[in-house]
Amino acid sequence: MPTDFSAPTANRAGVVVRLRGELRFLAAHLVRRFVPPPTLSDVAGTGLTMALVDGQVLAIIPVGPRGSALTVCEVGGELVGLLGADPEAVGFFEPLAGGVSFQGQPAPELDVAELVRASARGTFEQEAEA
Amino acid sequence: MTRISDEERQRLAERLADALKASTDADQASGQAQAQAARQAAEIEGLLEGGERLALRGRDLRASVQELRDTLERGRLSTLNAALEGARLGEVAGKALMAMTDEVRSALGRSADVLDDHATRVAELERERERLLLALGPLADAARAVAAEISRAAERGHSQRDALAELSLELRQQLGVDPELGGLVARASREAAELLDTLAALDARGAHGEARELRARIAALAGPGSADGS
Repeated sequence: MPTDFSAPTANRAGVVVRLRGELRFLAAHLVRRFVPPPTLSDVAGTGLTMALVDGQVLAIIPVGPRGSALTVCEVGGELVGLLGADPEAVGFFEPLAGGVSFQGQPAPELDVAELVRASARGTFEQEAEA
Repeated sequence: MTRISDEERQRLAERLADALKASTDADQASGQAQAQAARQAAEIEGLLEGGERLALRGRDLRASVQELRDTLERGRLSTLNAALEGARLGEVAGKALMAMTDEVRSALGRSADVLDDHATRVAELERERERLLLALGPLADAARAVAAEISRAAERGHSQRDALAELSLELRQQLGVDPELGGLVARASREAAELLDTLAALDARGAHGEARELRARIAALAGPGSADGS
């Protein structure tokens, strides 16, 4: 649940998602929108997964079970879909070191850029092994 | 023609008349039972067909529940997207939008709960329907078996009636036994006995005038014209 709107503006705007049972925070400027989980297409021989979302082809990073929504994020000007990060709440949250507090529980920030890099590394490693 | 006494002939005729009447009664009862069994079997078949129609409707209901669930989920995502816009506007500017999306999301959540309840009830109804159909299956089999058994019994009844008719014909030809005549004589005997009882009762009550009048009417009925059948 969002924090009290009358609280001081030091709160952080964003989304708390549940990822493999754990709470994680995504800053509002990173998240573009939520869409129903699309049909996924694996790109043969690359380890990449793509999906058509609102007329755009997006790279998909599966971070957990399919879930109820695809979280579309923007990293370095490119859109990427996080599959398996189910949104729990959107709003302003009390900041904590490395994340926010949600309903008294810590929600560490999710580093989407690192996820993208790790995904790319995985793909390169696969190519190298091949 | 084999000769038997009139008394034996009458007794045979009466027995034969009784047997023929019993056979006719059994035939009628058999026909009614056949019709009843056929009705019951048809009703059970109708219930089974109704159960199948219910299954189709249950499938439609499940499909519409799923469609509603998808719609609610899309609505939930829309409110999350609207809340995201509110969050980007900032705590002050986005306050109204956040409050509104919270309220809508809460209403959608309640709707989803109600829908889940409905889905549970539909599933319960479906299970109940399946139990009923499982119970109806053996009933339908039993009704069909009863109808078949009654048909066979009716056929046996027909055979017996035919055999009885043949026997009746043979007895008429060989011994001059006429079951219709025997029946009429038996009935007349019963009615004559009742009439005598009535006369005795009238005398016992001192109604001699009425008894006399009744005797005169009987004598008139049993006069020469009645005795030769004219």
